[in-house]
Amino acid sequence: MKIMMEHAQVQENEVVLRCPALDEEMLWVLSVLHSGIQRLCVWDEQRCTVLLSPGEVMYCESVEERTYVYTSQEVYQCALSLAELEGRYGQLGFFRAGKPTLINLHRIRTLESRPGGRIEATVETGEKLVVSRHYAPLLRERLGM
Amino acid sequence: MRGTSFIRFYRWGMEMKYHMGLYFSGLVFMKAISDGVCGEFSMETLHLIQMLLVCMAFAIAESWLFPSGEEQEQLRRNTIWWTILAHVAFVGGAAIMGWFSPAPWWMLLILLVVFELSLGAMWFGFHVALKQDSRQLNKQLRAFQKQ
Repeated sequence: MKIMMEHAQVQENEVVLRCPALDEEMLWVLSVLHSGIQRLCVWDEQRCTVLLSPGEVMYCESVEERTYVYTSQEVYQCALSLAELEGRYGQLGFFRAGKPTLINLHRIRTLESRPGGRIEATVETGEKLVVSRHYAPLLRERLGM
Repeated sequence: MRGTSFIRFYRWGMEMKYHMGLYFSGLVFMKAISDGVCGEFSMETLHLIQMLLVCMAFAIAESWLFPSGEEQEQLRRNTIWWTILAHVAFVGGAAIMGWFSPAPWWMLLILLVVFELSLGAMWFGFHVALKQDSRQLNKQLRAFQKQ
């Protein structure tokens, strides 16, 4: 990718992306540009970018260095890492449940204490995610226990 | 949607089998002790199959009484049912199917005491400590979500 910077007499900073097609690299650039605002920029299987509000996110998962964002209906891909998502939306209820998982605490239906100090979280879609032994005490602390 | 239902069913099966295995190993251990005292060091396959089936039926009933991933509203009532079912399944099963039949009365008494203690420990572990903790977790979660 060629990166070019131009100094011009414009009233507002401007970013123009030129590409023959929206490939993964361009989607990543777009996502990073959009992520500066509160909404989360993700893309779907058809490579259509979508702006999600953090409240729509059920949980995020990291698989083979890719970050997937799960809503009640769709699965999207995101350019940000789980650590970046946690840093950006942690205050809004995003909680690290394990190395590859970030859960939106506002979209959890129930929590269940499991043997071995783990906690099982059932999200609104009925999917179950495990909060590992390492992160379970942090969740308790986050919930004020 | 069908895939999700299958995964849910499969997951339920895994959890149910875990409990079934726990109860089955407990029963086999108790039978091994009882038979060993009577000088018998082999078990009838039919008894093992009966024990396995009873453990499976009890584990299924247990998963229905204490469904995973749902808030427990009738904890006390379901615990009473769980205790009754455990006695019907294991004490009843042993009496009807003669799992410990050659054992002397004092051995049966010891087995009964061990059974009651194991059941108590199991009840405390799974249905008191963990369920109460889950209740507290959910209470705190609701408070967090209301903020």
